[in-house]
Amino acid sequence: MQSAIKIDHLTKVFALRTILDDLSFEVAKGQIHGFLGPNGAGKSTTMKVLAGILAPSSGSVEIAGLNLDKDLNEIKTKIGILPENLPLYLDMTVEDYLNLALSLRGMKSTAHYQQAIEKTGLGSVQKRLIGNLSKGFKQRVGIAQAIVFKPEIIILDEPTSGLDPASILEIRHLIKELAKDHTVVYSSHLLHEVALSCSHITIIHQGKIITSGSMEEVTKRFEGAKVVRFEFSHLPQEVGQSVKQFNFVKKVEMEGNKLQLHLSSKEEKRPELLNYFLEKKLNVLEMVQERTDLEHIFLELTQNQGNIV
Amino acid sequence: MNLILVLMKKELKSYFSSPLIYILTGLFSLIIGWAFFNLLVTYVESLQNLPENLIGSTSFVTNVIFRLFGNINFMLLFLCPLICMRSIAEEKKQHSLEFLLTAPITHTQIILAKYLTCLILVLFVLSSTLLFPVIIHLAGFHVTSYMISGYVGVMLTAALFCAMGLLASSLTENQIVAALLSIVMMLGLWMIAWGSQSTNNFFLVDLYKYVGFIDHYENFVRGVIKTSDFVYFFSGIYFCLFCTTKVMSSRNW
Repeated sequence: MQSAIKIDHLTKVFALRTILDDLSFEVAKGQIHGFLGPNGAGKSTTMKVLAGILAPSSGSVEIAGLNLDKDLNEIKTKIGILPENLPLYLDMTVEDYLNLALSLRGMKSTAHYQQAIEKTGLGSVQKRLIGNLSKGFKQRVGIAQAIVFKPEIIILDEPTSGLDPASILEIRHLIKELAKDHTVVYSSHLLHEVALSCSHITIIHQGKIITSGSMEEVTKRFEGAKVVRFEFSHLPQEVGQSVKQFNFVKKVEMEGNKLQLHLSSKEEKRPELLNYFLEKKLNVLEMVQERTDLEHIFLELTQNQGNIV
Repeated sequence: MNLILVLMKKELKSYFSSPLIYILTGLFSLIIGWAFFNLLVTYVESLQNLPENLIGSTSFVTNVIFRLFGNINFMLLFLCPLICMRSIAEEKKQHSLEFLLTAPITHTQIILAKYLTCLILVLFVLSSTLLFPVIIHLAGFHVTSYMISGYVGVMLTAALFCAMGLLASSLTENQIVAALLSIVMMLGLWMIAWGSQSTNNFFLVDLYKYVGFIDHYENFVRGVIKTSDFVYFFSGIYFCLFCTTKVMSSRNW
């Protein structure tokens, strides 16, 4: 696995307050890597350190094989960032703004400009002042300035924040398109967004990494208690209560002919439960096992400080 | 150097496409033109009221040139802060500074580009006064050397004030606060020389006079060009720009 980004024991202290505490993780080339965390977790600070806006207090950061301390200017030509607050000049036209982004990197390529315009769908507004554009278009201009000089790595800090559902869909589609040519690091506190777009995630909370890995790994690692729901044609009270005899049943909830069982075991217990109900001559109309999704993991992890992996 | 020019071009385009610079130029021309007209009228009236044998004692240089440059200098106190106030403060407020910080351009290059832009804009506004030497020359007063040294003094003062204005702009996100802060800094530098009148200590008198910029400026207006005055202005400019770079870097502290 070739690393696009390698963060090793990164710490950032602001005014005696530790914002990032000993972060270490890697992003492989070609990945869409989700960077998840609640507000104030340190996502944006990490992104700013990666983009060279902020210097780390300690630790090392390697980007595209270059060291952030030694090769900062070269790194800045290999990394494009869309910060949380759009860095736009409202009194410039889209065309002038993107050409400025190119000129500041010593480039003057109309091909690069055209590709960025096509990818972000800004063709119809390229001659307009940025200040007169809608929020969705401004977001696209922000993404366009991050990709116009064809960086290897693109960092998007909350790119869908404040957008309407249609724009969110478009941006999500755009991110997937970008991942074909670039490594994308995508920060968000919207869990379903990350689940839909990313192949790998890192979860951060209060400046510390809670977990990092592929979506499957993280989901598997944190798969906890399962919940199985049954619906019967008729459910006698005593049968519902008798199911507690299984030591893997942690909690039983009954409501009419519906039964919800909280299991402590990670192993498959549905056949055993189904056989038991059939032995009791009950008609099972429905059996559903709730999936442990990212949202559950995220909430569990960010509420449980000690569970750092 | 190329990146500085790229950024300067962008900054100049932005300033010249906003009404601020034209309003400032118009107001400045109006006020300084009115002042110049009054100085001329007062001088001519004083000549007419004097007996013929005393006319030679009323110097055009003292009564018009010195006062004209004094007025221009006073106007710089407001002109420079108004031009420099948005330079960095606005970028911070709009978060567009991050656009520059993520590009391969150093803090020093950003500051130099912004500084030179502000200086060009101030000189653009001041260029409206270039008509005065022409008028003076056509009126038959040949004071070219005074005018040249006076303008050198004005340019150096403008350069120092722009550096101070940029420093103030880097300290805050609010343009008005930046403008007020730089006016206070400039007035401080102006008034510090007054301290020399309140002490008999020769060392303090010399110190106050050296730190305050008025004596250095007046040397130029009087047609006296001294190396120490250049050193004063250039070291002041360097100090302010150095502090601005440090303030920009303080984001990392």
